[in-house]
Amino acid sequence: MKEEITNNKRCAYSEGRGKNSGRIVLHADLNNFFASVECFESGDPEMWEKPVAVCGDSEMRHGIVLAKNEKAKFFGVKTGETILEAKKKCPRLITVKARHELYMRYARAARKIYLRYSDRVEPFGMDEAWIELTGCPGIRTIEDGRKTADEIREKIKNELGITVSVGVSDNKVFAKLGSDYKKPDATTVFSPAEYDSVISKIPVSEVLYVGKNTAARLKSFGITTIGQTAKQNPYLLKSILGKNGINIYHYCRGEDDSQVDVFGSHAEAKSMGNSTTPPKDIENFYEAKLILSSICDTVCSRLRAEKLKCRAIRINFRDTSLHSFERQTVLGFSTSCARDLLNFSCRLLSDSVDLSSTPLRSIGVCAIDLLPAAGTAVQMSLFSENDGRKDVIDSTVDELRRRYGFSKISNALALCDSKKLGYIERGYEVFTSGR
Amino acid sequence: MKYTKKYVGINARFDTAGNIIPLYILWEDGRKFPIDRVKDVRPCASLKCGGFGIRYTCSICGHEIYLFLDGNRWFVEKRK
Ligand SMILES: [Mg+2]
Repeated sequence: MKEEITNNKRCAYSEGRGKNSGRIVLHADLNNFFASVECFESGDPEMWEKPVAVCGDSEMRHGIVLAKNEKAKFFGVKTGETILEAKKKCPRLITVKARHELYMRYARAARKIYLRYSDRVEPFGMDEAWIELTGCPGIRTIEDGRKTADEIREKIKNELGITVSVGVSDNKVFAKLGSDYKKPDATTVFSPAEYDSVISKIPVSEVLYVGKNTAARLKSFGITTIGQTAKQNPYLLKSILGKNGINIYHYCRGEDDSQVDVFGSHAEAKSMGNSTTPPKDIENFYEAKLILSSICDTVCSRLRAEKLKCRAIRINFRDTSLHSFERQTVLGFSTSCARDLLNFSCRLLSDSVDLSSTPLRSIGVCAIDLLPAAGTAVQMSLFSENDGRKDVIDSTVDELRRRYGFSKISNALALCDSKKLGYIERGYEVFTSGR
Repeated sequence: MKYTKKYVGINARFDTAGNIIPLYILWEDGRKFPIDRVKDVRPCASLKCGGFGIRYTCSICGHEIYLFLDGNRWFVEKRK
């Protein structure tokens, strides 16, 4: 991350010099990913014309909308609301249960298509990726980038049956801005030539890493667009937003020289997590522990399947008024043992929230700062009394599950009230950029 | 006209380059349909019944049909 303020550095965009960094970066974003896959997999072309929402467990009171198609969006269906709420707005809403493994297959196939054009493909979430075309054969100008983007769109459509929006620029931030600008199935080129007429007028809230709070703070100073942000004194932005203010200043000026990672150079998943909305709100620590225990179990099982360990964890939770919170902590050692994750997530939770006054609607655990398990030095620590026995237990559990199915063995804790608490589906991966 | 994925058994030959050449389609009732020729092989989505994989354009008794390799299963597009 850039720390210093480089006012006199290259600012091709904001000065309208029409010169770019010389890089050609694509950002591809699969449109309404989960919902599109379900519409396509149904084999019924009419499905695209009907409102469709992909949901968590729909049997349960809190089945939640995870994704929706254009038609459902039109009816005001929102991600994160319950099926009941969504059906109130749209009685004919078709709800399908999420099939994460199917979506992973599509995501992997899409990445394989991107990898035909460059080895520098950096996934961002399950459905997005940057593709660096700089220096690739036949690629010299931004126009070549546009042609490749169009080709990728065709290939995704023909080979996977779904659509993708692609942004083309000379940096990652504006490429992502471009893929968001026009959907579905569109290519948007954002080069310096488009800065004054288009880019500068886009709300700053659309810029990568500019969250709701950041946008609201900027707005209170009368700053709402990318162009306005780019013209501010960077020191002012720093005083409003802290260190992040400088990054946002540079991003709004198209000054982002962060590279696109070579595919596979990092563990593919930079974090792995699972969350659940039990059928009943979580009202005490005992219930929370039961649920966390199941979640940690699936997350760790997944970690071990991918031969990864984590060095930090993050928990996220939502209260009954749907405010969400996030807390994270480093572990001081690396692990893929459910017991370790459970200890730390319980501690984090009890430090962050008083359940008697703030019952929770949903809760999740995410293993972050992942690294390959092989070659990981086993670091002794006060918290991880690892004498090897835990590893034996874990690998036995994994083997039993591999042979007889995931649900055949679980933590005894999970047996208590498992009916009441509902849950639990297989863990699935959550991809984040980590940067 | 609605279509559905019909998973089928396949007899195939693996050549030395690692290519898979499907030879027969084995229908569930025991019938065997010899594939006269594979005209085209490409990654492709099945527009008729959803899903994607490697699409083999095969001619069988003078008819052209698409045979999809989906992971390690094969399917054809069958009318409902
Ligand atoms: Mg998307």
